[in-house]
Amino acid sequence: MATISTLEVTGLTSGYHHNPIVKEVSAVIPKNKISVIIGANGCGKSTLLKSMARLLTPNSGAVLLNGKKIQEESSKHVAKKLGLLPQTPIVPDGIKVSDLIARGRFPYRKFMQNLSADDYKAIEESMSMMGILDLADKPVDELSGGQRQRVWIALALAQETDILLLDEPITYLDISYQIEILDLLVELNKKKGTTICMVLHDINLAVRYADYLFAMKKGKLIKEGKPSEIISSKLLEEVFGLKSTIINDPVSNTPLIIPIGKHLAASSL
Amino acid sequence: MKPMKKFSNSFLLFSILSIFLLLFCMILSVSYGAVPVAYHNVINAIKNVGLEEYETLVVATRIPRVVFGVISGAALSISGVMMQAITRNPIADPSILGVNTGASLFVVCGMAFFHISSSYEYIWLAFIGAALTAVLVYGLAACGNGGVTPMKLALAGTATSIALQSMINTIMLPNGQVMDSFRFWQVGNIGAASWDDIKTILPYFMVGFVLSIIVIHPLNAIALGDEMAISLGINVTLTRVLAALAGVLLCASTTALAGPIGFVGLMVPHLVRAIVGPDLKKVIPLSALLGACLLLIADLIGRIFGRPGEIESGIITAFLGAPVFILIIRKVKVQSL
Amino acid sequence: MKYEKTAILDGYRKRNRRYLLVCGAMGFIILGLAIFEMVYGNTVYPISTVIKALMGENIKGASYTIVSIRLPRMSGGLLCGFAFGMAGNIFQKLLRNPLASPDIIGVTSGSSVAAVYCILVLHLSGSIVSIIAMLSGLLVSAIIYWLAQSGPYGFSNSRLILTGIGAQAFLNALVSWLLLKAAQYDVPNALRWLSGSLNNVNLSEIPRLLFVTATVSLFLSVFYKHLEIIELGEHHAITLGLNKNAIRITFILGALILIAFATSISGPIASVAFLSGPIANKLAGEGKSNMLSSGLTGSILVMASDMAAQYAFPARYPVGVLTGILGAPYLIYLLLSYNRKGVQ
Repeated sequence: MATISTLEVTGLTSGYHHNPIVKEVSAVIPKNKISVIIGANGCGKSTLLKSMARLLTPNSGAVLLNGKKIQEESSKHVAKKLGLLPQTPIVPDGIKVSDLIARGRFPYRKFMQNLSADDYKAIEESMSMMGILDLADKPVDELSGGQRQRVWIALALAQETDILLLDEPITYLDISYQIEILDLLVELNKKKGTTICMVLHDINLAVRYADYLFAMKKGKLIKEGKPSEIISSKLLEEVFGLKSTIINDPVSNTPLIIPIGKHLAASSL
Repeated sequence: MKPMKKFSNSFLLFSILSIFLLLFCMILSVSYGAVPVAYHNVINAIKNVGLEEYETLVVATRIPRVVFGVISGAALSISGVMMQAITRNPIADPSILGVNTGASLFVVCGMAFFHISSSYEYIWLAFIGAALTAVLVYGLAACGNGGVTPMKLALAGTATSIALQSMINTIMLPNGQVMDSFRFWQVGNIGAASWDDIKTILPYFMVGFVLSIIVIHPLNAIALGDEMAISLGINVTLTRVLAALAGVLLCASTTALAGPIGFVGLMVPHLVRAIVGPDLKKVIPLSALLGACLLLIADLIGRIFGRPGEIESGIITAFLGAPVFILIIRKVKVQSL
Repeated sequence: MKYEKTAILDGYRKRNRRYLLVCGAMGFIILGLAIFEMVYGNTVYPISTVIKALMGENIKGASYTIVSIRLPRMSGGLLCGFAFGMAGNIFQKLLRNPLASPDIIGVTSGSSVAAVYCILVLHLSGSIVSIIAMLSGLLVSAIIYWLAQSGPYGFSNSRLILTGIGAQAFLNALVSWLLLKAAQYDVPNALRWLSGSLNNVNLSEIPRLLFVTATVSLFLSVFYKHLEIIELGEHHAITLGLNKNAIRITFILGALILIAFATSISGPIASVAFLSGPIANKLAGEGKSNMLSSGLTGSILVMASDMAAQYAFPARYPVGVLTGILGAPYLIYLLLSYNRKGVQ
């Protein structure tokens, strides 16, 4: 891979129907790292991710891919650099796994031509990375939630982008699948150097898996940095309005957040 | 408690206004028509005296029409309220759900194969057809992911209507006589109702009205979701069945006598909910009043603009209702479609 | 560079083979039906006579029947069926709903109103009715599309479908009214038009239909990959670099032109547009764009139903009545199959 693309937002204000949800956010997504956007419901984390992925047009400010405004670049060109796994992707009825993943090759395919050798290689690689080669000829709607999510990630991988954005990739999964998917993303990041940026709801998993955190509140970016450097009970109180105590996670040696809650607050103080 | 008080005040106000509006519509409806009539003759006709005078006689023939208009307008809008409450879906209406086509199919079968021509027999056919279609359409809409959305409900209704309409055509096309009587029945019209007709179907209306009043409380709970309703101790299935029975009964009785009249059940409850909120205790009586007004007005418009004949009220309600429907659609956010 | 690994290649090859095989078989069935339609009728002519008549030889009695009655009927059925099938499949994929069909965006009701008006009020007949019906169909769908996308919350599939259904109710009321006001002897004529029939297809209309169906369907097939991407939803379409608005408009417009032309020749042949896609999907393999196969399915449906409607029953029916009835078992099947899935 020639160069790893960079993604940044400058003075971005964005939202639905001229009702800004993200306000004046500037950030640089760290290259080759896993970064996670955290924040309370409605703080604009999903909106920020969607704006970075071109799903929403900024009201003002810009999203820059390799220093150029993303809206002004050719859409296929961007599709080769920047991939997204939406929150609720749609499965066409009866489609087979390998057919679905082949659709990730769309930006590379020539007019009126069948899949090329490069396409097959990319599809097979992404499937083997997600461990779903043996599911190739199965219909997607018969798979379990965890397998299905791996298929969608494989589709994004087949797109061969330097940057991968994921909107709550583990929300409806069992805890074991959650860990499995996050582990796969780490592996992807380590092996290919893919820049990953995602929105996660589970704050402890975010802290454990992120190299870099963005904390948002009411549409503003209020703090960013490595988890070990920025996570503090003060920050959590500010972002989530949650009283907590922070200990060291004995397994990963990262901060572990213990929420206190109303009934125990008196006794712990 | 202050806003509550304000609420019931506005409900009272609107009820009184609607009653006046209804009275006004009734008087207008009796006195207006192809033959204009002086008011003293109207009063005579109501008192049932002086029938030997031509104008009074004209009015006397209009009275059953007005009475039927009031009953069926109320029935159609309550039927709409019921269907919307059961499906928790703002666009459920006999015309959108294809229930009218189902009723039509059965009536056509009756006309063609059993030579049925009395409203007493129509009503049972219409009722069975409407009920079966309602179940089929709702089942179709419940297919697939995401539960019953307005879009799926409307699509299922349309697709079913197309199939049923073809069956109607199959029966009708080779049979000129049925085709002719059916094309008049197919367009809803309250003009042909007689006292006898009204007497025949009145019991069905009464059962429908009573049922819909019985289910007000449990339906209000179902509005919060099935799980919530069950945990409040409501028998959800029984409530649904009773409400559906009421809805189909009310709409089928009207359809049997007047033919399919669409959109009353869509427009009126929508307007009423916008004024008094979602509580069925208020929605049902107000919808009944305004539904009656709407149908009388539609009938009047048909008589005014259709001179020297008249335009059937079913056509007028579709002309008024379809744009309202599209307006509702435009104002709803995507997520809830 | 040649790709050697076979782990996933086999599956792709198998599915492609199946698609081609099914399309080929459908082609043969259509050919068979076409021959049958030319040969069979009130008088059965041997194939040699049919060929001679088609070559322009004047055979007494036979030439008129074969060239002026059977040929337009057969080719009309083939082309209209293809157009309905292909357009229907496109709409189902585009709007992601098995019940969606172009009828719902008003092109059919728009055409019907105009046609009924022309027949009953203006007492027109022949191709002028077709042309007015087609233009009116396109105009109505343009209005519906505009209504669906100009609201405060912008365009969505559901809004398009629901707006279309509302507009249809309005137009159908208009049709009923026109029918009601008409003289009794005019009604069957209009009603036949409303239910879709190949009785009045004229040989002079076939070249126009052929030209439009062929060019539009060829043009649209080129974009099969784009249709596959749009099927994944708005978000994936943008992510994969598809210009979704341009593609959506292209497909809608193309499908509408197909439908409008076909409708103007045969009237709305009910249910073909929404049956063809699912049948083609089941036969030729799900998860493909199935453009060609659904068009061929449409042709088979219309041609076979037309033959059945002509000769299988005591009375002759317009083809649309039969295909419309076919819609009912399909709906029931849909209901049952989804319910089975729900149990799992």
